[in-house]
Amino acid sequence: MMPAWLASDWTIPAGLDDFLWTYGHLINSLGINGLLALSMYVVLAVGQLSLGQAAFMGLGAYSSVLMTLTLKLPFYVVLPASCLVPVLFALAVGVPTLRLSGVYLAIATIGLGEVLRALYLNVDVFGGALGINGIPERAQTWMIFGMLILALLGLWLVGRSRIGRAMEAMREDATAAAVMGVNVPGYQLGALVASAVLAGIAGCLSAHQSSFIGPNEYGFEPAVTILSFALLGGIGTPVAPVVGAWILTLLPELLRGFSDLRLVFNGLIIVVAVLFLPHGLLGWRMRRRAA
Amino acid sequence: MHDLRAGPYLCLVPRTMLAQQLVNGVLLGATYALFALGFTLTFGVLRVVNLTYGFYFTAGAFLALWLTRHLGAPIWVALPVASVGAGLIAVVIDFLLLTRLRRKNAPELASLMVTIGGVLALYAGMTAWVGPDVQRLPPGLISAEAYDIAGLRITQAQILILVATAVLVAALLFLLRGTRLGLALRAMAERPDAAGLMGINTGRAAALVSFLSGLLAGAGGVLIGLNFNAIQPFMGESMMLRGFVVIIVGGLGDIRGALIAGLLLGVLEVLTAGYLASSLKEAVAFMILVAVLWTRPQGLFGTSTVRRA
Amino acid sequence: MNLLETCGLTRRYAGLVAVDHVDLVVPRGGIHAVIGPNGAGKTTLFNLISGLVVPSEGSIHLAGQDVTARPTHVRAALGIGRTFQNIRIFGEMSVLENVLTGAHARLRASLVSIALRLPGFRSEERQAVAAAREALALVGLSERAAQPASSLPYGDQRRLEIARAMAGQPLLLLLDEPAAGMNPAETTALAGLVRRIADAGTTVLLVEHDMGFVMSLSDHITVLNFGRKIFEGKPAAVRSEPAVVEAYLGARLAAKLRAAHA
Repeated sequence: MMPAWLASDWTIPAGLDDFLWTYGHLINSLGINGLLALSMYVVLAVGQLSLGQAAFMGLGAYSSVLMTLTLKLPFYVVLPASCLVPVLFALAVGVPTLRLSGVYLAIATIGLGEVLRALYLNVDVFGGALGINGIPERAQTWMIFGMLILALLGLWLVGRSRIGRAMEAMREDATAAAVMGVNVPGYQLGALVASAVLAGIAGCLSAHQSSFIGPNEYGFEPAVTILSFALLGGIGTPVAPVVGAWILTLLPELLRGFSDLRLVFNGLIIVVAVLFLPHGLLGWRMRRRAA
Repeated sequence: MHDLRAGPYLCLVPRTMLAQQLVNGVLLGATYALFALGFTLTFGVLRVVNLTYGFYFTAGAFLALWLTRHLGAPIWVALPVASVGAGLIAVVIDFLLLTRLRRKNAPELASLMVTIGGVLALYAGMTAWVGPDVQRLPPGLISAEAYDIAGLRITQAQILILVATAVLVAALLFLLRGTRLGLALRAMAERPDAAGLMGINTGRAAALVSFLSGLLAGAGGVLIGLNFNAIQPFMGESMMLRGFVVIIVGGLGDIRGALIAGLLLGVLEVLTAGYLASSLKEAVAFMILVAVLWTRPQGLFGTSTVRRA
Repeated sequence: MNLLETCGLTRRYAGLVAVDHVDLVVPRGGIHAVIGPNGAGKTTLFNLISGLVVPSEGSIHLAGQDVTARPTHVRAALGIGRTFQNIRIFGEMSVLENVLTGAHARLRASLVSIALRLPGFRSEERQAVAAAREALALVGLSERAAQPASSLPYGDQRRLEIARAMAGQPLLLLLDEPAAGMNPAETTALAGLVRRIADAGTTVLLVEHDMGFVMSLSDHITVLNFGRKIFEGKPAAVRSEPAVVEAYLGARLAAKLRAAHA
């Protein structure tokens, strides 16, 4: 386990305790949704569309929970290991589809989400419709935000290098990028794998802070919601999708009366963003060089 | 029965039961084919993977529910009226979401994203309106009586499915192969750039194709709703997995491929549920999808071009 | 050894042979041109050489190495650079970033080195920026380095494409109609630029319709018609070759006839 002095409640003054008790879950959601938005960002940044983020998150969640409950592994092993299964599925779906036009990856990843939900519902190990309960709450707020900051920093640094330039180039014109020597299918697969890693870790963290996971948390609706994070913020910088995620996480809290219409709103955001706001709310792009 | 050349599991099963499963499978597959036909038509002619398509399936089922429950309409009225209604809804939604992108010649992923957002809003709006629960058609809408034909049990609902599918598929094939309009649509599918030269109005063609595909999806929704007697806002979404499998196995935009692949998928699902486990239906369908993508991305029956990246 | 050799290179489309058993030999050094009427298969030939189109038959060797089965990005790394007939710059990037992207195949820093900003990465990036500025100076776009590429006027965009291709330090530079849409003054300046590139040691293979440009610049000319090679030789020989004159005149007459019927 983590040393006690690192645990979040140790450092927090008593007055903040109530606040965190009330809003702790929301704060964690901000971090987790930020990670998910980045997982979408890396795929969109190479000009591809994957709807597999929720599926990868689910695979990370279920596999990590089984590692914790059945194999009794400690969390510092479970957290990094939670990206293994999502990455395997990303390869199985990505390798055949990335040779083809972009719609194939989108279709296959939507299909992946649907089939996994059916599997979680119907196979006993996954707890069926009731999901899995009693997951130890081992993910601390500092871990969630630590991962988020790490991911942001990594994507920012990589973005300002030949890799970032290659990614933007292939998003604008894949043919011209290939002529510049960019291994387009290689980068696309790399982006999908990175996306699976981020989503898998987000899934593990989310499962280990809510004590419960169920089959409906990783289907089509969350997949589309994650897409709306990225499209609302934009993909000019890695910060933009995170801001998008935070807006869409906080908004339902402010507008509680409309909770039924939350998904309607998320869907409409995508429509409006694609039709009228192709660069998102934060349209500026980062400089693609380090020197 | 070794002469059936089936797998080891099937040999252990009485022949009549297998035959019954095959009949059920073909009928289920017919509705899958019907559903996928409209999907592949939209892609073939308009070059859009249109995810709102699943919503027209839901819309057809709910229109039929409303017509039968509140107006007391018999099924032979509800089926065509609900299908046409779904077709009209499709025209409106296509106009709202895709006109602008078509005019700008936007990349195909932009169109796909718009329909993804649109369909989530539609499903969620529908759920907010009618609630998430499963609803049932009025009892006695169609006789539960079954006919015994050569030892096989066939219900009236199944006969309706068979007749309705056959009529719709025949009508669609006639429209595409036997009329000037169909010729124009096929020309658009072959050479999108040449459509303008042939005097085809893209806006009107889009409306027509949307109507036809919405009608097919709506009919599929009514028939599946009747078959399983369970109607629910997100029913179109789980149907989309079948739609994807059928159009990729059949080949994107390939009408004949979609028909064959739909029938195959129906039979396979029924056999999986009957001899392995009902819970594996979707997994088997998806494994076929991935296997086809790995080995024959142009579809099982396609010989022509694959659209590579 | 020749720099580029194609042997029996063929590309068929449904009902059409775009490139028909073309044997093209480009020795190291100098400026080589491929000419021919519209639809002669020149751009398809370039797409075959750079790997954007897969040949139906035949082989392509670069510096003695068989690259027929190699994907585009590998050929770029082996030394094939190119520009496009319809400009394909990365419009949202700055001018300098476009050129840096052109150097992609030469940059080696690993992901770890990039993420940790190790000294190896930093010095490589500094050198790449310096080289990119040099390439921009070569085409005369130094002042525009920070501008978004899409804001450049047409002629500058064409020169940017050349700078971007040169940043990869190619052995062979393919220029697809570099003078298209340029006025006479710009064309003259472009000819000087191509000459400087060739003199600095890069072999140039170009497709161009502007005959004055081709004749004054090229050391060697290959003529295509209906996908076939109908002639090759020095500019002077090409001008007096009846088959070439006929190919062009035939095409012109056909165009006139089409115009009369339209």
